[in-house]
Amino acid sequence: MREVFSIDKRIVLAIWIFAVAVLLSVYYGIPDLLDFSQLGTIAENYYLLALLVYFMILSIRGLTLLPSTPVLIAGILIFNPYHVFIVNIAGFLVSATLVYRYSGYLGIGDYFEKKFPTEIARIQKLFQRREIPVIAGWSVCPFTHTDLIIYVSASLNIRLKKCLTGVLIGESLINAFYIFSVTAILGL
Amino acid sequence: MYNSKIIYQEILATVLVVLAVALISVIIIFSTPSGMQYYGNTLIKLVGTESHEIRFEAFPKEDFIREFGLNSSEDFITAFEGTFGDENKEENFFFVFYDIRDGTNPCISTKYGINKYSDLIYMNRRCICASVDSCRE
Repeated sequence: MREVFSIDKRIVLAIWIFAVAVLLSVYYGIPDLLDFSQLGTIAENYYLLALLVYFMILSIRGLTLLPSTPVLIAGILIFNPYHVFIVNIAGFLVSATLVYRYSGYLGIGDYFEKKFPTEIARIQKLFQRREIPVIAGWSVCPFTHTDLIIYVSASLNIRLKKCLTGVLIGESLINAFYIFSVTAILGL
Repeated sequence: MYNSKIIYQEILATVLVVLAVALISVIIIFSTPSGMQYYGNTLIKLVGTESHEIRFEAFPKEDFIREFGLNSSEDFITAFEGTFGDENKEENFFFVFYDIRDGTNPCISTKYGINKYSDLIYMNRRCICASVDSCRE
């Protein structure tokens, strides 16, 4: 690990792991502290500002490993469903790009390639020419963590263009499904 | 590094995979009471701590008839409307929806969804007033 990660990368990685651990502990332990529905209070007076804050939360969410579905559902309850759909897809694409670039910066792919060369080669062969179907298929499954497939894709050095295409296709469908479920099925 | 060219076969495979996953999800969730119950409960949990939910339940139609005393000799939709009325009726390809206000508490409304093709009906009883206190039963 020492030969792959330089000292600055190791510091960034340590800070990131610590921050994610704290954030996830707060999210699961004291959920009231990270209650996204509080955006509704801002939206009553400043709709566009609330939408912008919502977009920013969505954009950085991937780096925090927080699940996306609760954020989306909070958005559905606050904003116009069409606005939520567009902002959510845009936020997802930004989030996926950040996750991909961050993973590339850390060189997680190089680390795994050096550590497990045969296994990585085998997985890469399995993915070959099936990158978009795999990413889109994973993204469209309800309640799955889309960021995981982005971290995996970045580790396997799959092109960003293919990652984003897969995420765009999968997330468009699953987001429409959630919006339909919350508004038409539950009537919320 | 992978080939960055997106080829026609890949797009076709993507469409097929996405449609297959979506179809399986829809069949599991919207056709079986247990799938709908799990999906509804998970969504409600994700809505958060300020939830106005009172009760979400999915039933096979036979069980619903028994529990709410519907006339079993009639067609299910007719029997349902005969008992509950047809307030806010909406229809789409899969479902017939009703959103019916509670007779005793106007702050409580129940959304019913009847799957037209499978043995599933669900109900979502929730508080529609701002204050949850006004919905205490």
